[in-house]
Amino acid sequence: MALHDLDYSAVRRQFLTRTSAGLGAAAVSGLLNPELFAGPAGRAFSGSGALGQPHFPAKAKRVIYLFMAGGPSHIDLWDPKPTLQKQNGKELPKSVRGKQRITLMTRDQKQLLVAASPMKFKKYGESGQVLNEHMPHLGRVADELAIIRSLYSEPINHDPAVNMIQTGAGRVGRPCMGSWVSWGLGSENKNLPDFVVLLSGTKGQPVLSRYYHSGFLPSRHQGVQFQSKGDPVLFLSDPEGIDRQTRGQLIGAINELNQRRLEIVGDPEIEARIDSFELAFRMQTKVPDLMDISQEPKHIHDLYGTKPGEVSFANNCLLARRLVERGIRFVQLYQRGWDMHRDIKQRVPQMCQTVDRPIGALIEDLKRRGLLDETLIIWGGEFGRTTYCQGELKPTFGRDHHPRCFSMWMAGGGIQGGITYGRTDDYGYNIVENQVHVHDFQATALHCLGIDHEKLTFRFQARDQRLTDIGGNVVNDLLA
Amino acid sequence: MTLPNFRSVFWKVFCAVVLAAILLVSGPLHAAEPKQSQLKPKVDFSRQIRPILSSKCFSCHGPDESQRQADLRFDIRQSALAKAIVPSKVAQSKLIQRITSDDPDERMPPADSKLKLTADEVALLKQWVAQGADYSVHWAFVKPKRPRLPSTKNEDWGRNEIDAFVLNRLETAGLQPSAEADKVTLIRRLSLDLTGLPPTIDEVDRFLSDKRPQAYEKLVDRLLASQHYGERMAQGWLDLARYGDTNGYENDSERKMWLYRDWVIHAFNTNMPFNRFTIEQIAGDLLPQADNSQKIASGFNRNTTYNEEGGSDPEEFLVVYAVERASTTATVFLSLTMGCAQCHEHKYDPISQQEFYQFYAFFNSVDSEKGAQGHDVLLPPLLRLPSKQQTADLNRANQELAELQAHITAEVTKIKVAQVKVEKRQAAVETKPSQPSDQKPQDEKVYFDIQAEWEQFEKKLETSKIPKNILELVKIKSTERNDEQKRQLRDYFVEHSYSQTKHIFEPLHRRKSEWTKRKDTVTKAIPTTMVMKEMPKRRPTYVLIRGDFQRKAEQVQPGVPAIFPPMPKNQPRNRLGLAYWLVDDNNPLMARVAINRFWKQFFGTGFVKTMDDFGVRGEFPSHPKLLDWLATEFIRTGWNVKALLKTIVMSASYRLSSRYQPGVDQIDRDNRLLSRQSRFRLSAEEIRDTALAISGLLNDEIGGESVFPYQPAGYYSDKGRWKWSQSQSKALYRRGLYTFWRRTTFYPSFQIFDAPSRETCTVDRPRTNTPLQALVTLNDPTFVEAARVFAARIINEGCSSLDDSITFAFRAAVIRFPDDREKQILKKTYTEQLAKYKKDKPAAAALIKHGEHPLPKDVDAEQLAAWMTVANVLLNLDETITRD
Repeated sequence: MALHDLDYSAVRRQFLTRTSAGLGAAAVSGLLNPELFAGPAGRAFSGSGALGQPHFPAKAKRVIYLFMAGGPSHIDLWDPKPTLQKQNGKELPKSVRGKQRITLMTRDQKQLLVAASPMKFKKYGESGQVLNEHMPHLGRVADELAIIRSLYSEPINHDPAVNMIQTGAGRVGRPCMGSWVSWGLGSENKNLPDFVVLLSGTKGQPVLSRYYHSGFLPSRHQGVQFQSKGDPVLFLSDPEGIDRQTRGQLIGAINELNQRRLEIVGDPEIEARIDSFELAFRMQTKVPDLMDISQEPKHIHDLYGTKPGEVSFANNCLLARRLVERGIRFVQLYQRGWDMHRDIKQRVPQMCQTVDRPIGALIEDLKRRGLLDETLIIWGGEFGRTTYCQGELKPTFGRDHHPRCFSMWMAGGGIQGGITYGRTDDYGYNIVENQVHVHDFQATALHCLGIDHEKLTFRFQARDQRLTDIGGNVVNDLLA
Repeated sequence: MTLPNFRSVFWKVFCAVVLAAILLVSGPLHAAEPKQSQLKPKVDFSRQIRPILSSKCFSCHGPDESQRQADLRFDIRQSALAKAIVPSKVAQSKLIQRITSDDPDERMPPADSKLKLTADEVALLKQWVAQGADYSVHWAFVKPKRPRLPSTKNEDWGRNEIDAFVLNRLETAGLQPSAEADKVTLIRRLSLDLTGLPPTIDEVDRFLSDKRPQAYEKLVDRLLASQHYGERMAQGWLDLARYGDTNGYENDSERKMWLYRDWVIHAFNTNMPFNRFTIEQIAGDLLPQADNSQKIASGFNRNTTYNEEGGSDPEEFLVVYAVERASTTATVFLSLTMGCAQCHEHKYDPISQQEFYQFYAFFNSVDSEKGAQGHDVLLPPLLRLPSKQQTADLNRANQELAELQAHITAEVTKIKVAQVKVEKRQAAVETKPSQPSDQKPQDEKVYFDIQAEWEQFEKKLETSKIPKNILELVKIKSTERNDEQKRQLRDYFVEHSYSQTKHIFEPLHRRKSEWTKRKDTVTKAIPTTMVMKEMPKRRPTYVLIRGDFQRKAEQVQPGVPAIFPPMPKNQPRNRLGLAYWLVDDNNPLMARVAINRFWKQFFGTGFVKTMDDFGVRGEFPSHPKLLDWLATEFIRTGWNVKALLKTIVMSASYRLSSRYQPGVDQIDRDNRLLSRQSRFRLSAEEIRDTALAISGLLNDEIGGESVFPYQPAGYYSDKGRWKWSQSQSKALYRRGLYTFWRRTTFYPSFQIFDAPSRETCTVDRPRTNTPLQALVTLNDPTFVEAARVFAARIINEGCSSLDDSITFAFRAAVIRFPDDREKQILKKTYTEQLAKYKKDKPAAAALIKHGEHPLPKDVDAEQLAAWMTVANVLLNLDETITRD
């Protein structure tokens, strides 16, 4: 049966009818049921997934996607080109440049001068993964990483490129990966949304709520942003003057009246409404509890470099762990600040310092808790950066957008650690081996979750739409 | 038999098929054929067969030539008959052999396509072939004919033509219509459906006491005449028209477009015929002697989002905008997924890629449209509509500025001594440039005694603030400048950087900047809107290979797909001609598509559930004849929208109760046959409007600039350089459709209640039900304040007894009277909370402070707080946010 044939609301109703009895009293009196539903198929917050169960046994149950917004420079981070030092300051050969389009920011430049990376690289782990020397913490877990050096995409500007890697096409209006996964697999936690977004960083491109939108999928699968300041979830706090007891009593009254209405009109949507108010009530305690990282012991704060109360990538990494621990299906962190049109030399180390320790800590922490094997971790941005410098080659040089090749890494559930996949040319400008299209990356990520990317479809505008649009091949070499 | 272009694997497969066919010729299938065709009802190709073929076969055997295998296509009968179907001979038809084969190599659809035919589908295909494999043109591509009214067994039920069609379908399925809804439900349903607002208690009482037979019709007429009718109708249209207050993409600067929004409201309120409504939006600017209103209407095609990102390729985005306009027009007026043919031939509908670009060519020549532009600029072509006062203010400012400039120029020419002085010291300076001046902070204005020193200073700066043309002159060696260049440079120096003339020019510059500011303020306040305007000479249009703007194929001229009637001969081949073609009586889609949407507004679901797709992959209508009857009626009455809607709401079908009937679910679970009315949640804007209306806060002004209601603090902080400056006083309580629509991060409570971002055309809003929605109506400041003002209203307007006050509050919220149990629950809430707030006075004081609306004088805080909790309960009821 094709997915679009499934009557999703009926599935949900069935669930609600089955579980809502008795929840009312529990919610009002503040008694909370165990967080995770028992049994193999998680049924929860927004019901079970449209797939029912994965297409094949899943290695990973959850995803933490560390989105590095702005386009991290691959040749300064993951794809070192030592021989490029000799070419420093020379014109990028026409044979290398080919006929690729470049942005208007550098198109009128008289020269495209090669700018060798000012970064130093080191080998880490048994596998000898080569990382930027400013990534020592990640170095400790280097054997977990599968670095892909041969990603490529089509759009050359941020907005379409983020859309591409998030939704499978440059144009707007399609669901992002998190929404697809939430829709397909549902959640394992009945008190929290199954797709959570956390933002950090201030410089560079804005992170638009469209990037984590559900497009044509039902809108409850859009990413819910948990904010580090103010209400963690919009409108979560009761107004001053309404305490927990009053809120419980009022929701009790609302639902009693709704129940009365249900008896008369018989519309099952009312049952769903009753349930949603009970869930909202539970969220009011569960979310602040989740967001309160001050409960964590000192050694954990030392590991991540977290400071309760701050808006930081480190805090978000710790929250990501707390979320996956609670069975949240898809957690996406956005860290802004990678759009380095100038100052590569200063800013790459700065950004490394921001992300290195928390990510290293996250992987170690998950591993210690036995969660790494079932959590897929993804690190990457929307494209890479050019080998040539933007403007003159001076110490503060920067690089322009480059979708033709870039690097990402994956780790955890379903992924073979300690490998480097794909190869770019000596200039880090073109792919020479094992190219991985954005759709291939998406297909591979879904595969880790037990999803056949060609079968997770939704009928919209006459087509059975999917995350990978019309492409995508699973990269088997990346799989454990 | 010729077998062109076969790949080897296909050849093998084909041989196997032929062999199998020979073996099967006298098999059991063949023998069973006559019996099958005699006993079973005739298969309807358009409804039953084409959907199977289009979803399971067309991707390799359909309209797209580049993907076509074995030179076989099933969308054209001739091709199917030549290759794969022998009419009435099931066994001899290769189509049937292949889909029933046990050999995985032979079986169609092939395994790697991941497509599968169900047993029912196979049976249907067999039956269809057995009955002669008739083809018919897809139903939606044939002009609707006015059907005769069907007969019904029950002759007593029904009020107009609509009911005959509905009852006929129900009787066929063995169902009966529900009872009519009670009068209270009807007035609430009508008010919400026609104005988007609930009725007031007064209106309800008047309707209940009106016992005349025409009471219902009078109510309908009153609501259709309400100014809020236009707002209600506009709300849905603005989703289609993707109306927004910002440019979209990453930077999402503000734009001015509200005049278009107000045009839509006005058009509905004045009952503009729907064909006129269409023409003015598609081509208002091209109408002879187009007036301002028609030009504003043409903004429909400027609601496109625009990219402002640095480094974007203008040509790429000009293509994106034109594609977007073509696709949106096709979706809104034809419910066709024409955009699918942007990169390749349409996989299912008979629309070639070339035809897509012909359609696109209508939208490809917008005068002075840019593919890429800076932030915060209004994007031409624009229409400015200054008031008389604004024109006068502008003239005054321009005059002042001109006089100041003349004064400045005169002063500049007067300074002659300086010229000599500069040249005298120049040589010395060039050999020994003065150092210290470039140490000064760059944003501080620096003055010089000598021109050459100033030039040295400017040359050294990494980023100079002087105009580009002057900077270029500075860079030229002083000996190589011509007289004109020398003069320009000297004049600039004298006016801006010469310490000796500082006292003359600084005051002049100050006055100049004051007047410039005043001019900008006036200019910014002028109502302005984006409109369409054709370039004097059309931009050439090419077919773009794979939709890539860099890969141009053959040039094409504007035109419409060949499957449809041609454009009217007497009309130009531009947007205006296209508009007339859309509304031509012969257009098979236009009226049906409009009817389908109007129907959804009053019944919850369209006849065709796939609102955006009337193509071959779209759903077959639930009531094809009623759809066609209404479509032809709509045209017959001159596209009269109010008349059409009146016909719909006057029907008995519309007036049915929405209560679920036991037993019906098994036959018609989704109520597609309309044995009852639908019950559905209100839209995001209506939920807000309803709360404001119930509380008495609603400011029901019509039109004007968009407003900024309460927004969670810091919500925009990580979403760009954009700030939400909250509106003041009454502007906080405008209807939802006036809320500033920032596309990339829009008003959160609307987003949570399924409103679209309006970055693209949205045909169908989902209706979900989530805990995040519960949090909005429980805690969003708008709803908390509404509860407080509602509470004050209950105290003021309610009665002396608690019982009566509860009844008043309940009626204000859900219109009907409460029953005893409901009263009891609310009474308990009130007494429980009152007792609590009497004990906890600070809590009561805190609660009644929420919101900016002033508190009534001499208020009893505990009483108000207790009523606030009752109001909060009422505003959160399922019934309050649901249309019954």
